[in-house]
This record gives sequence, C-alpha cells and structure tokens, in this order.
Amino acid sequence: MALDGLKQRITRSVGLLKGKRKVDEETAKDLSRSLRKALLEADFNVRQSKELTERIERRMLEEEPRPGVKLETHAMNLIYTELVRILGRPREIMPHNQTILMVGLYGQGKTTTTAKLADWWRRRHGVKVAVIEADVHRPGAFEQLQQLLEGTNVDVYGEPGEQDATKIVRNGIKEVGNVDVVIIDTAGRDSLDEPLRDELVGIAEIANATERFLVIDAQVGQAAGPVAETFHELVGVTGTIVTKLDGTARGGGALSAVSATGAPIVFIGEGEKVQDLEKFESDRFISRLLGLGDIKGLIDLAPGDLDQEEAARLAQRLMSGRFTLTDMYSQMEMMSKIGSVEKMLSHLPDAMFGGMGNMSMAQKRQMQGNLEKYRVIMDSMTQKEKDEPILLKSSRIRRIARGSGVNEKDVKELLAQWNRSRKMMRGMKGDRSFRRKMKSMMDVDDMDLDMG
Amino acid sequence: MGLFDRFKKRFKKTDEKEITAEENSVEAEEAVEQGKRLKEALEEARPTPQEATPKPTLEIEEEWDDSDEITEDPFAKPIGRKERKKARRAASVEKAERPTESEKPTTKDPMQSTTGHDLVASGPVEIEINLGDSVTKTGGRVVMSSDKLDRILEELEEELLSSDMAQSAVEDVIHTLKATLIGSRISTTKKIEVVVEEALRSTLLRLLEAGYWDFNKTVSAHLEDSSPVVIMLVGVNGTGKTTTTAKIANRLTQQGRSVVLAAADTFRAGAIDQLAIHAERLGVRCIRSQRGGDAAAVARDAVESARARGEDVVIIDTAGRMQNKTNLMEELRKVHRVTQPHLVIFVADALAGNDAVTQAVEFQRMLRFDGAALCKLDTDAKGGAALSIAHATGRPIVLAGVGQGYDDLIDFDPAWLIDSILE
Repeated sequence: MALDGLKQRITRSVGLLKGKRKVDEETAKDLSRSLRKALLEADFNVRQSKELTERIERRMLEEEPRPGVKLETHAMNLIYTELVRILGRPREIMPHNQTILMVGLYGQGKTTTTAKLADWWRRRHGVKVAVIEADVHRPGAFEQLQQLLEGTNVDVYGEPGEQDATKIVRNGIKEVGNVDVVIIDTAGRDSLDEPLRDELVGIAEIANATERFLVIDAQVGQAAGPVAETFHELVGVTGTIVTKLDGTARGGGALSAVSATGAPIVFIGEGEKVQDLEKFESDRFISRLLGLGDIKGLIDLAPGDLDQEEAARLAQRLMSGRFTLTDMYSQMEMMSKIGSVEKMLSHLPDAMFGGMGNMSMAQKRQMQGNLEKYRVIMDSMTQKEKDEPILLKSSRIRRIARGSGVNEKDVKELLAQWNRSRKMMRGMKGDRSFRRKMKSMMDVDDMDLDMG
Repeated sequence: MGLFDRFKKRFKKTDEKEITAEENSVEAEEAVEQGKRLKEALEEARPTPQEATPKPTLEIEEEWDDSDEITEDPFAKPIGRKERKKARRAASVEKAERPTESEKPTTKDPMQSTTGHDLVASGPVEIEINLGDSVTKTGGRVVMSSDKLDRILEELEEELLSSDMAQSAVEDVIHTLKATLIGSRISTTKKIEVVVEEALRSTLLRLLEAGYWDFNKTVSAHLEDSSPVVIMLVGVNGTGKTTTTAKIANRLTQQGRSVVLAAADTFRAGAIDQLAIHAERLGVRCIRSQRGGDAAAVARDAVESARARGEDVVIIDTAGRMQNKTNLMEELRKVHRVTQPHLVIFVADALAGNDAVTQAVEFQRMLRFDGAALCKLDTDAKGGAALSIAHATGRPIVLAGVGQGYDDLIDFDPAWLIDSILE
C-alpha cells in the first residue's frame, strides 16, 4: 500500500520522543526535521511541508500535553489535526441530476476514472449513468471507454473522427437524454496550450457541469500545485480524484493539489479494473496513515455537525486516562448527537469512556435515561467544579441541586457514576493483559496507551 | 525569482567572514580537519551497489538467452571503490584479449552500444564534486563549517526539491557539496557564491551527461550490424508510452527508415486502437492482436514479419504497469526475452516526484533499460525526475517529449534542463 512508507516514516519521527518527559528546542527541531523529510519523500509540496512542520514544532513547544499524556501521543495528535486540516472537509456527491466534467493533464487516468465513476454509481446506487467521450485528440479514447464499460447499461456517447469537442458535448447531452448522472471525459492537456484551454472552457460552458473533477496521478510531485491551480482558474475545480494509488507513490503531491484548489479529494483509484475505485474520506485516510485505528470508527458515527477534530481529540484524551466531569460532559454531548449510548459504545473498546463499555445492557439503558438529567445538573456546576469534582461537598451539592431543579440525591448519583467510571479506570492501571487486549483491539501499535 | 537570485541575496546578507576563515588561522585548520572527517563519513555511509540492487533471477533467462552474452553481471559488482576500479581494469584486459569482432554474436550485449562508447554501468551513481579552478593550493580563504553555510545549503536543498529531484538524490548532492566545500581553499578572486554555483551546475550536468548516447546515431549503428533493430518501450501507467512510440516511428520514417509497430499493450482498453490509429496516420504497419492476447506473441510476430520483409525498425509498445506488480513485470520480461530488443527505453513522466526513483530502480532491476525518455516536459514540471533517474540508475535520459504532436520528440539536452532547474 502506498501509504505504508509515509506511515513508517512518521512513526519513526515520533519515536524520537520516546522516553522523553519534556520537549526541548533541540528535540522539537529534530522531530520537525525528520517529519519534513518524511513529507518531502512523499512528494508533499516543499513550502507546505515546511509550514506544516514548523507549526508542529511550535505547537510541540508551546502546548503542554495534558497530564498523563505521553509526548509521543501528544505529537501524534498534533500531526493528525494538522494533516486533517490540509485535506479539508469531505464532500458527499449525490448521484442525482449531476453533470460531471473530468479534467486533468495527459496520462493521469481520466478516461479510466470516468468509466470507474460511471460504474460506481451504477453499481452502488443503481442510478442511470451516461458518459460522453469528448477527447478528440488522443486516438482510441472512445474505444477505451467503450471497452471498459462493456456489459454494463451505461450509455457511452462519442463521435470518433469528429474534431470539435464542444459539438460532441452539445450533441451528447441531447442524445443521452434524461439520466441521473452524465460524466464528460475531456482531452488531457498541459497547462501551456492555448487552443486546448479554450476548448476546455468551451466544453465547460456548454456542459454547465455541476461538478468539475480534477484527476491527478499519485506520482505527480511538486508540479501538482501549479497544475491544480491552472485547472482551477479555467473551470473551477470542485473535487479531486487521486489515481494510481496502487503503485508505490505516496500521493503527497496530490494532497498538495487539494490545498491549492480547496477542492477535497472525493475518490481514489487503486487499480486498473473498473471496480478499483474507493470513496475517499480524509479523516479515515489520515488515521489509517498514522495508525490511529479505531478512532475512525468513532468519527464514522459522528453526524456532520459534530466536529470531527474535537471527537478525535476527545477520544485521545480519554485514552490517556484522565477523566473529569468536563470529559464526561463532552461525551454526553456527543452521545446525544449520535443517538443511543448503546450504538456508540458498541463501536468503542470497553475501556474507552471511562470503562462505560463494560456496563450491562440495563445499566446502559438507565444511562441513556439519565443522560439528559446529568447534563442539566452539570450545567449548574462551575468549570472548576467540573474539572475537580472532588470539591463537591454538601453545600455545593445543595446549590447545584437547587440550580438544576433536581434532588440532591440525583447530584450524588451523578457523582457516584463519575466515581465508578474513574475507579474502573484506576483498576485497569497495571493490568497488563487488559492493556494488551485493548491495544490489539484498537490496532494502535504505535500509540501510547497509558491508562492514567 | 530564480534559485540563485535568492541564493545570492542570502550570501550578500551573510558576512563572508562567517563562512570563510583566514589562511593559517586555527579555524582554518579545524575546517580542513572537519572536511576530512565529513568526507570519510560520507564514504562510509555510501550504500554499496550490491545492497541497493538485489540480484535478479537470471536462471529463467538463460534458457532464452542462448544468443545473449552477458560479459558481467552489473549487479554483482565488488563493493569498494578500489575493488571496482580493479575489476574494471580486469574487464578491459579481458576485452582486449577476446577474439576478433567477427566471432562476437550480434550486438545483444546490454552493456554495449555500437556508438563507440559503452553504456554506463547500472546502479546508483556516486556524486563527485569538482570545485575546479576555484581551489587554490596556497593562499586564499578556507571555507569553514557554520550555521550560515548550513542555512544556505538548506535553502539550496529546498530549491532542488522544488524541482522534483528526489529526496535521496538531493541529500546526496548536498552532503557531498558540503563535505567538499568545508576545508577547501577558495581563491580570493572568486566569490563563494560563484564557486558554489559552478560546482553545483557542473555536478548536475555531469550526472545527466554520464553515458549519454545519441538516439539517431545509435539506431543507425545498430542497423549497420543487423536489421530489424528492435526498440522496446517500458514504463508505468500513463507516462506516454504509446504516444512516444508514435513519435519515434515518425522520427525514424522521416529519416527514411521503414518502421513496424507492435501493439504489445494488450491489456489497457483502447491501447491497441490508439496505436493502430497512429500507425495509420503515419503510414506504418502495426502488428496487433485481440485485447487480452499474448503480448510476447504480438511482439515476436512483429519482429519476425519485419525480418521477413526486410524492414528496418520494430518498436514495441508495452502495457504500462506499476513496478510493484510482480506478475505483470514478469510478463514484461517475457516480451524482453522473446524479442531480445537492441534498445530498451524507459518512459518516465516529467511530472513524477520521488516515485520516479522507485520506478526507475525497479525497471532497471527487471529489464536493464538503456536510456530513458522523459515525457510531458511541456507541462509545469521542472523535470527534476531526470536527475533522480540518472542518479539512481546511472542511465541517461536520451529523449524528451515536449508536446502532443508527432514532431514533439527531441533529443534530451542536459544543459537545457539544468538551466530550467537552476534559473
């Protein structure tokens, strides 16, 4: 897999922090240098890698890791958030009333990807798809598309021999009629050729495409940024498709293209067959890249309005083992967004969320019922009380109960619940077999799991 | 702003005194010592070619290769510099003692071209930096190690990386440059930035010029010995093999050669049609089969039929493949075995970044290409991939693709590329 190389590099860089208690300038510099090398080798933009690693270096020095969090985990966390930031927010493309224009340089895999996309929507969503071959320059493009989509019900429109691409597109759109998705494949071009540029702009005008996808090869290096910019100026790119990720190329150039256009990666191509297309999810991609394993499960559950970075951060914090009422509060907030406690906990290792995964079904149901009440109670606490629940003595409890309109008994119950979770976690400390189990479950071989 | 504009600016800001030391000063002596140490460390750190390129499995090849004479296994070279020199000398002695030309089988030795000079040996190239006449024996100033020098070199490194030269190659160049600079006596008449620029330019140029061979002359020379001359194009997907095949066919027909194309890319949809249409436009024959057919059979057919008709050149267009797919690479080797091409050309993408190295090394290991064609040089790409390929395999870039027209294939000009990278 193309990503393994980068993953190893990053892990090795973070390994520089092993056993360290404090980051001094030298260590931070070493880390940043080593990371930069890793990114450059993966073809990330030179300037971007520099900025990114400098930011990580600065944050390593400025931000204290939370107590109990090892430096390695802290660094991994920073790298994760910084990388996710580059990739931008993922987009969902609905397969209805779409006209998609495929653009890119020569030989990036536009025609193959056109066929893959058509087949994807046909297969996954059962919608009616038509493709129009508007590459009038490369011989054999129409035949290629036809052969790739042989045996599917995807309509392939093309006029081999016709030299006017805009005419093909105009006729094609009329010809394919009422379909859910129309995909238009265009000729590959370099960024200097005027006639080809004019032709592309002409096609874009006629097609009035809802989406303009830039197809870019994973092996493309530093030129990726400028190339993406050029296409963005011409047609306004709305999505990026990275191809040939089945080779050894690490795709950093393509990721840099994303930051040049702001158009997120929507699909990735991982092979020569029509089925070899995958939907791209940036956070999953990055956690896979960093070996953060199951965090993606948590993120996957989160609906769109839940801040994914926040979710990842929370998960990390919980894994580090320090558990206050504030943490409990944000968990509950998140759970209420996701839906049921049961659903959420089923996706998490038992030890996560203060060992709540170990609860019985009945307890979970009760918890669900209590959720709302607990939130209200906590809303009546001060931040300090939430951070240090130990402060809560009878007078404070009385005040909170009055403020949230519940009995003192309910407040005490909440505290008991918190205490149970905390004890559970304390009990896990030093339990080697448990830690091993958890480690294998989460596939976080390179993360530090210090259970508070 | 070009590389050296910025670079020079940095130098002007820097006080020369912080980079160089006075003659006979303590610092100068220290710098000389340090330079020596750096050079030694560099020598030790250098990977031996044996480690870098594992030996290919030659056993299978032998049953096909009965007409092929492999004088030396390029991958089983001795390790040290001295030993290598010794081996080279021994080889040349052997060559001189060998019986006369007539007994030699036709020019199938992959290490030999008929252009008069040998193709350079494969394997990673050692960077050598020559400061030329900038160095004086006596007098002058001694360059010493300093933070400022480091920062300048770092900036230089960044610029080379921006041109898509691979990380490994850049590192090698910069480290060697540093080791050479520190402790050197620079004549006072020359500014240090000029010295560095000259050293870098000549190093990169030498890297690209090593083993360069002229495409036209080589084809002509091969033709004098035997016909048809078989040229095979290989590379990963989408670098421009089919287009380059057409361009080479065009170039050769214009020189009055008769050309046959072999559509041995039986895998990619539309590839056969693409080549067939090119052949029709160029008025040359194209040997083809069904999609999914045996690539080696198509290639062999093309060679046989060209031989029967007395045609001059056969160009084999192969299917693009990722170098990490072993089975597909084996298939490519099969095409190579049955056709015994005179020239194998690795088609590389000028847009490629660090992956160019992995690709080139792997293709070199599997097939031993003679030279590379760098395509898509008309894009935004600066073409540092050329330097990576030359550095990693020691094989020259001979052709450059600069557009989609049939005439847009030119002989690769190293100086032009260096200029475009450095300015």
